[in-house]
Amino acid sequence: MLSIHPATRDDVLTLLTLIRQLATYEKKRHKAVVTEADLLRDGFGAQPKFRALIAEWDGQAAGYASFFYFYSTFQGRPALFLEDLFVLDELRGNGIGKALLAAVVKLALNEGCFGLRWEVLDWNRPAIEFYEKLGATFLNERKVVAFDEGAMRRMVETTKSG
Amino acid sequence: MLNIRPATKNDAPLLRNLIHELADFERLAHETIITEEDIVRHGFGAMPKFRALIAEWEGQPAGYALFFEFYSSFQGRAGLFLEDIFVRPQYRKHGIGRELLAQVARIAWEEDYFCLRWEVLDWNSTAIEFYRKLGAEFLDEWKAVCLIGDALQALTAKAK
Repeated sequence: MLSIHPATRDDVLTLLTLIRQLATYEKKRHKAVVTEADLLRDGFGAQPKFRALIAEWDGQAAGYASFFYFYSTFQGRPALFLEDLFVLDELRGNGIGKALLAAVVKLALNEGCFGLRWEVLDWNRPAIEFYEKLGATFLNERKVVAFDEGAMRRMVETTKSG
Repeated sequence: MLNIRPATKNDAPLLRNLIHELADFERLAHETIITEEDIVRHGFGAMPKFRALIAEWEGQPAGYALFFEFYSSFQGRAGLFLEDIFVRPQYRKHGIGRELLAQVARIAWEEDYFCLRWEVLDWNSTAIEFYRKLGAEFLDEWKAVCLIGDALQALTAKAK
């Protein structure tokens, strides 16, 4: 049977394992440098930077969702940004992902958020179809851009002002 | 000359105007409902949900940048998300946008965020070119998705 609970400090190891499994699935295992200490500090301190829900299937960890607030200047209201949504491969097809997503949506609505935002990898067909069926909107005209640390440093160094 | 400063509560009417001007430029005015009260409550209360910088050119408000924290579970660190960067059309070509972006990058750098992230509309080739020249990376394999309105309600109706 399925049960979903908010992650606590006791779930940090489970969370770390699941994050690494998601990274492997997304072919980004080399990018997942997160540690147990990072999760403890950033998720379960005085000012948490994220929250998470853990899904259990027959008492075993089966998946998770992690999320945090995000602000829309057009809406003038916060939304929840869904950083991760993941279900173990062998437990897919049991409605766990949908239940996790619904639980996050429920929190968003209770907290006065206007919606949920997230990102999906363009090659992840099963995920895209899953989100389409749930009525998600794909913001196809939006391109995601970033400065990594090197680009940030160059930008700072080549700008006179301080 | 150019002056960039952190926005305060007194800038709420100005920020509201600038946000609506950006929305017009992005052809998203119909989706833009933010009010002055929203800005005061969310930006300048006890737990601000965003920070903003105002750019002034010869004492006149010329543009703004607005940003907040996000978290990367893979990095195990927070990054800074640049929600808006905008320069009024009559003030372009003075390097104001570059300076605003540099100031946000400086904040991200000094406060130890692992990256600065944002989104750009795919038809805004001027902005894309500008970001590319500054060394930005385009994470083209990521698609932005949202769940709003009826779809939101429909999903929770099924959640026990």
